[in-house]
Amino acid sequence: MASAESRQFGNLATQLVQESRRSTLTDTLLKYNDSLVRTVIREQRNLENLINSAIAAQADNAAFTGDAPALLLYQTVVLRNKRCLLAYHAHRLDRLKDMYWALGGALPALLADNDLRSRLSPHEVDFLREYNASVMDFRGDFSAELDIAASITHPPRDLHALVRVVRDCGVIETELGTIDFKKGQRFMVRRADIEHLIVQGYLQEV
Amino acid sequence: MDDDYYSIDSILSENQKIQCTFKVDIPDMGHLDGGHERDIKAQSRVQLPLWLAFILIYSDYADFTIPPPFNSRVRNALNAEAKSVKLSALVGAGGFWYGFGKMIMRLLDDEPANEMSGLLTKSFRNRLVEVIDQAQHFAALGPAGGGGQSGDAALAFREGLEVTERELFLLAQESAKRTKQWYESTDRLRR
Repeated sequence: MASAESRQFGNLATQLVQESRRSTLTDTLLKYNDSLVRTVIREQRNLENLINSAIAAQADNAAFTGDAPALLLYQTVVLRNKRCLLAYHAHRLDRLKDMYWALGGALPALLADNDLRSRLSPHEVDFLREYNASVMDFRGDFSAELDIAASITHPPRDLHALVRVVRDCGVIETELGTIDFKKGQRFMVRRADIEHLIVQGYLQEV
Repeated sequence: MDDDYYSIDSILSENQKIQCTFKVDIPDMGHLDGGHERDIKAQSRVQLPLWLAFILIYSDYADFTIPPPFNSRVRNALNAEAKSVKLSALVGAGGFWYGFGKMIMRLLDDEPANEMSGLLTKSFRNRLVEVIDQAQHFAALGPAGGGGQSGDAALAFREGLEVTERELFLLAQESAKRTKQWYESTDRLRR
């Protein structure tokens, strides 16, 4: 039964989409399923061959009447597989974009996460880099008035914030001059200068 | 559930199978239902996923029968008491009963389609109150709670939730929990 089942067109692509659903339910990004994606693409090639031979068989017989249920079925499967493949990738990209914004657009921090990195395909890393470049480019247009990458879920209450350093983050330029943030120290600083460090988890508000 | 091209839920809803009866012979396609015949013969009955069945039905190569999750027995039961029907048992674990119904509607003529639409909305409306009610209770009781004197009926209802309802249940639960937290917390920066 199992072998007959796996022969059915579209099943593998469905597995891919089920993976996306599982990812949503468990709220995790699963490892990029390279082998399954490749298998589905191979199925597509196989279908293309079947379509070509079906068309050839038609042409031999007589004028093409358009009444070819087999052709129609193959085409439907091809379109279905395509939809599944695109949905799988779109779903992953959506998750990646969410993660990117959760860190306030800090790409290096996101990519430094080796556990996450191992679950991405090389193309997804490329996507993140280019997405980041686009965001940075756009952000630059407003840099004088507004930081569009700032958090919108927790609006600031004060211009200044008292922060505790959780992880060393080196020397940072601030309004008060340069500060060398060392673990355990506390500072009263202008929020705008260090907002991104809070989001990335280097500093903590006290 | 939306019909967006990239919608994962929509794609999975279309995966539900439907019984089709072929009107024409289709050579070399016997493997469609995982069977062992070489060709599909006219009048043969095959279980096909909806996404594949649409085109066959629209092109008049096949007919379909209303699938069991929407037969008259289920309709009657839903009309009598929507809350006593286990929708999850009808479409299997992780199945979309409402999504499935919506897909079937596309295959029907106006009148039966409206009837189906009415059935879906009415069932949803009748069950929703209980879904949200139980979710609130669950959130209030915390992980150790649940039960009560009518616990069995409540449990049976929860087991019968289909995927969309289950998602709403979780959302309502989470929302109730957060509201509770918000009430109990103080705004420490308020002066």
